[in-house]
Amino acid sequence: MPESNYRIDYDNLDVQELMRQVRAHAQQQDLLDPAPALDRAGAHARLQEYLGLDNDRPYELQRALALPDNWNLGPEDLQVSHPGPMGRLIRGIRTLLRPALKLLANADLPLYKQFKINVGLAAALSDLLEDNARLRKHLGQLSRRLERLESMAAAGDAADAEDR
Amino acid sequence: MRLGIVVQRYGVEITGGAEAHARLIAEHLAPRHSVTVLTTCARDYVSWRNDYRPGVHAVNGIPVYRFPVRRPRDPERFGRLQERVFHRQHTAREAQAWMEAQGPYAPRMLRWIRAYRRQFDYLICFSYRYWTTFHAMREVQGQGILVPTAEPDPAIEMPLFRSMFHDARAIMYNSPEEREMILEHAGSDQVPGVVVGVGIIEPPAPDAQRFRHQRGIDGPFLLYIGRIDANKGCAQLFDYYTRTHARLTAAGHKPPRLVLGGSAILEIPDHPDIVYLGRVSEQEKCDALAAATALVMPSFYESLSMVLLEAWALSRPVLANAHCAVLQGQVARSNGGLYYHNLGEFAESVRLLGEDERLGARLGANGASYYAHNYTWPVIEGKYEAMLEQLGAENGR
Repeated sequence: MPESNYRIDYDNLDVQELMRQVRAHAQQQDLLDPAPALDRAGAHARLQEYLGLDNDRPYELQRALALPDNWNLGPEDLQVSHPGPMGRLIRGIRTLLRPALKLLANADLPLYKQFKINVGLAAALSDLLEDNARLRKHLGQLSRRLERLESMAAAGDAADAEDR
Repeated sequence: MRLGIVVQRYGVEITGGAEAHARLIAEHLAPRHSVTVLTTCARDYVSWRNDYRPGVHAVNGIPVYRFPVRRPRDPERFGRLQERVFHRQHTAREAQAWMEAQGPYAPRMLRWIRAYRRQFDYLICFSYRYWTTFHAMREVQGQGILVPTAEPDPAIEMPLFRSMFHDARAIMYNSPEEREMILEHAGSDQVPGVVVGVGIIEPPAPDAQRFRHQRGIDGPFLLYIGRIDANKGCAQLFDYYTRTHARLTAAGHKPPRLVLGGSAILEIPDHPDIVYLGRVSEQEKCDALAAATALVMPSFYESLSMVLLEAWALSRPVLANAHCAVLQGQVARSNGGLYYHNLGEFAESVRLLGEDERLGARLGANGASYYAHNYTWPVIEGKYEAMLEQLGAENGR
């Protein structure tokens, strides 16, 4: 008998409702495929790597993509404003006001972290696209091979049927 | 009525699903109508090699006209053309070349139909994607009743087939899922159609104990019947079963065995609880079904699945691959089994079916009721008769 926490109306079975319970039990009892858990752990590790505050990879990606000048950013760009006289004025005002602003909130670190997340996500997306292209090609090769094997095997099956 | 049955292969020894479907329909319409079968001399569905003698023969009392296949199929050339038209942009000419390579190429049959079509009220043509039905339907516009036996693969999306569905006099679908798929791709809403499927050969009286005794199998087991092949979902079945077995055993449960009956194309894992029976006779298949905890159907592509109906005819529940819309739809409509999308659902369903006999019995009873209401021969014949009557009334006959 199954565990009593299944609610089964044996006289009015609703398979779709029963399958909802099956799914819930499968998740609770950790009967899911362990491979996705390993994949998730690996993906998390990679994402942490992308978001690492000390690595250079997102910047290499920028160079590899050959983004136009005004898209190329570095951490210092959080601080840089307009070039020229206006920029100097803004920087001067910011220097005077920064101690007062920091009394209320320090936005520098969250902004920088958001910047790193954005660039890190772009790097992860680039990797995904590359993996996808490679898998698509591999799948095409496997499909063609399977069709050839199926043809050969079916010919053998038909020959066996004649022998019966 | 005078009915012609057009199908790519025909014979008692032909085990293909669509061909068996055509033969059963022919044999069940024959008592009330004049039925003639038009087919090829092919027995092998890969090469279409001529194995039967051409001419007129009787099969179970029904006249069968066999026409020779002019050239066998070249699997390599066909495979290359199929890769092109299924997965890349292609021209109408390339699609037509694919059809000609698909075969079975039997021009003499087409000439015969052209000359003698007036001898028939309707031609019931099986399996939309084969050369014989494709060209017969074009030849007899207004007289062609189509039994598509379609599966969700790239062929159904090809524009090549749209006019065939539009010009059919009627369409006899195997399932609501098949109808939905065809209407989506062909837009043939205006063509009269009905979901009918097919019945099964009356199973011999089953004896579960005889099977258990002869094969030495006791305890619960899942049963798979059919060709053991990757394109029948068996590779995934073996993967899911072996991992489920390990998990359930580690958690202190006793998993059911997996018993396989049919010809093996795929290597069967060497596992203490996987039992391979080899090919089985009809009697042994019924005995095994009667003894089984559940029939497992791992296929990703089915148009109907007659073995599913055979299980329900014997009041056995099924465990089906939910990635096949037809299988999931049948199980949901019947409440006659469970279905799985992934390993977790497969494992929990196996555990549940193995441990809850009452559940298995109720699911099996539901399946039997669904089968009785939808797939017994009086129901199937009734739907064909109703359609013929409707078409006759529309024709003013």
